[in-house]
Amino acid sequence: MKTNYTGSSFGGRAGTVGAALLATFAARANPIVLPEKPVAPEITFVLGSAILLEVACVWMVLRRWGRPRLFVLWLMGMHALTYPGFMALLAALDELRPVSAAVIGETVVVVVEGAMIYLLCRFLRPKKSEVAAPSALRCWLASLAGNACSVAAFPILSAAFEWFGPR
Amino acid sequence: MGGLVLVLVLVVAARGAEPRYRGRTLTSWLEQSSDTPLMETQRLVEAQEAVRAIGAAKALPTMLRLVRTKDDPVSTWMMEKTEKYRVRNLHWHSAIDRQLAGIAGFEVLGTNCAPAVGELTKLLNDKEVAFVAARCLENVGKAAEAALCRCLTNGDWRVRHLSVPALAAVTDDVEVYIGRIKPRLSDAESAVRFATVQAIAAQNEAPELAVPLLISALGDSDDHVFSQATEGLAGFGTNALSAFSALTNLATTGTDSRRRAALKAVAKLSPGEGLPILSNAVVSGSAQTMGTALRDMKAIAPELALRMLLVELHAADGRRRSTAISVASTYDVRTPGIAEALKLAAASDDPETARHALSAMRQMVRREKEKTGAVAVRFPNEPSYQGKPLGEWLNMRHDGWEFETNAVLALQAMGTNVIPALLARLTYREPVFGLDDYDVSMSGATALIAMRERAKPALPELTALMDGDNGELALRAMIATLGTGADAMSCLMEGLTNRFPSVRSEAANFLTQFGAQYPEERKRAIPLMVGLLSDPDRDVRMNATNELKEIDPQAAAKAGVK
Repeated sequence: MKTNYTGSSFGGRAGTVGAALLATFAARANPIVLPEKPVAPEITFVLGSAILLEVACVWMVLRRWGRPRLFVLWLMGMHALTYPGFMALLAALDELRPVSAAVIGETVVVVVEGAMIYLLCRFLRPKKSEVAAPSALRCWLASLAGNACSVAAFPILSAAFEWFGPR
Repeated sequence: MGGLVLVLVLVVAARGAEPRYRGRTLTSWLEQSSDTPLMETQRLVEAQEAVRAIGAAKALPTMLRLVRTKDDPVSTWMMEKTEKYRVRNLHWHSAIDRQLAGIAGFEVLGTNCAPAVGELTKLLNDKEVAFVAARCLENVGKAAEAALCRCLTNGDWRVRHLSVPALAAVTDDVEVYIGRIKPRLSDAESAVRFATVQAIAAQNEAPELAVPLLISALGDSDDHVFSQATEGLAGFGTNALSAFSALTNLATTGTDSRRRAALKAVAKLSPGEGLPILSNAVVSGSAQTMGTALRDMKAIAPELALRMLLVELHAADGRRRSTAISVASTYDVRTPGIAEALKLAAASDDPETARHALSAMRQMVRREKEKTGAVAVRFPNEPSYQGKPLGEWLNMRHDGWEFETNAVLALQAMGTNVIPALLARLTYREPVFGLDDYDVSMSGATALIAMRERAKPALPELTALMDGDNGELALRAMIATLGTGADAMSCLMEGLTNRFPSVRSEAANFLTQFGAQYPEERKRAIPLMVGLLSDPDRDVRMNATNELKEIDPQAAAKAGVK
């Protein structure tokens, strides 16, 4: 179909012909890159706040029991293992509905974190401490409370960032 | 350790319950089957074979689970966040994706899914998944007949709409089928009524049942349903003669769109009796009705239709003339009177009529070319080389306009003798309407470029064409100079002050691309390029701005280009 004689389209075709026959330059492609809003600040804020909240909850539940020194830092460091583990588990379960995968993932996280807290309190507690280490059940309870808080806070924190964060 | 065991148990429980084939879950095969385009047959067949290998007995529970999937706020929120945070390794599937995967399973396994009919029938009561269930049922075949009958009265109009044609495939008797769908002619939703009329119209082996129903559908308030009914009746031909009087009535008294639909049907049902109604519609109908009637008359009474069309091409009313031009464009270019009338319309004072006529003429020429396959126009007394005429050499091209090496060598060997023939091609106009022929003209222009410096004797003629009244020809003439080396630069500089914006714009463009080989000549063009920055044409200004920035950024900055 080459009978569209409008000036602009003709010009376009003529230009193409001329370029094909004569151009000695390489095409200078200049693709437009659409700017994307950076998401790192929001992820850092939401994730960081949720972990802090969880740590605070666990600390509150176990405050009267024997704990290692720098317990808060231990709890935060623990997430360097459990958070990637949680994400890997979600990826492994992504054929399920997201809500089902999240429930399974969170359950596993509660159990694993509870066990880790128990081990921390049992083996890293100062030896001279007069306070007894918490039981495994109490550690899981603390983990459950902490994770429940952070899960509940996650959407609130995300919404808060959208409202008050940088535009 | 206990935690790790729990992880394993949960993952295995969540993933392992599903049937697998070649290490992949049924869901993943179903997703592949659902989201593979039909063109990717190998991938599609692979997925379908996998689903068949798993078999209906094992697959149905999973397929039904997928079909039942509903959106929940948590999942929706999680999917939004996954996308927003660009988490690349999570590939969630929306409820719709999963439902489509379920439907794909029913499409593959077809009648083997009969055991699922009971469960799918229950799902018809669930507003959120009723349509999905109906889509599954339509693949199950005869076993789904009763369920599809229930679909006809479902609360979701999409289910009713789908079940009308689906039921046709599972009902053995036409009378039974028509009896089942007949109540849907009074459905509240016009799309359902439309589908019903369409389905009835398809029952061409039972005109005695279908025609009365289609006649009753002529009273439908929706124009689309009405049109479908008229089309259906037309499809029955002489078997629907009982509808003739109703259609005749509507063709004279209905609203404009209904008149047109009825006219088409009248012409098909009884061409002889319909002719006076059509000719009457040409004379008394609106512009659009006139167009429809003329098109229908063309097949019944071609001579009368042509006479009436030629009259309408001279109508005082612009809209009627415009419609007549559209009808004229459907004729053969050689039909007596048509070319003259269109040329006259193209020269009309009314710009809209002129533009429309020109467009119609081009359309007719293009169609003629496609029909006859006449790519190569024959010119008498063209030079030849090695026994082949020029036209044959000019057809030796790679993609687009690039000539094959043999053709270039032949052109160069023919020397200046070939120039008059190439100029004749460049200025060629097709004989019927006297329109430019882009392909022939560009073959002349590109051949002149291929001749390189040997084309120099053509420059005076090309320069004269650039100064002519035809902008498109002026542009092609300028392009034809491009092979002549430094001399082409003078032509391009002249092009910068040409009266046609397209020539000025392209001249600036070529000077940038082609002029790099001749920096001194290009330098002389810069003041003219600066002049184009205040060109009355916006495209020329924009082009000149870009080209000037590339050729001479300093001059561009001095002229105020940022």
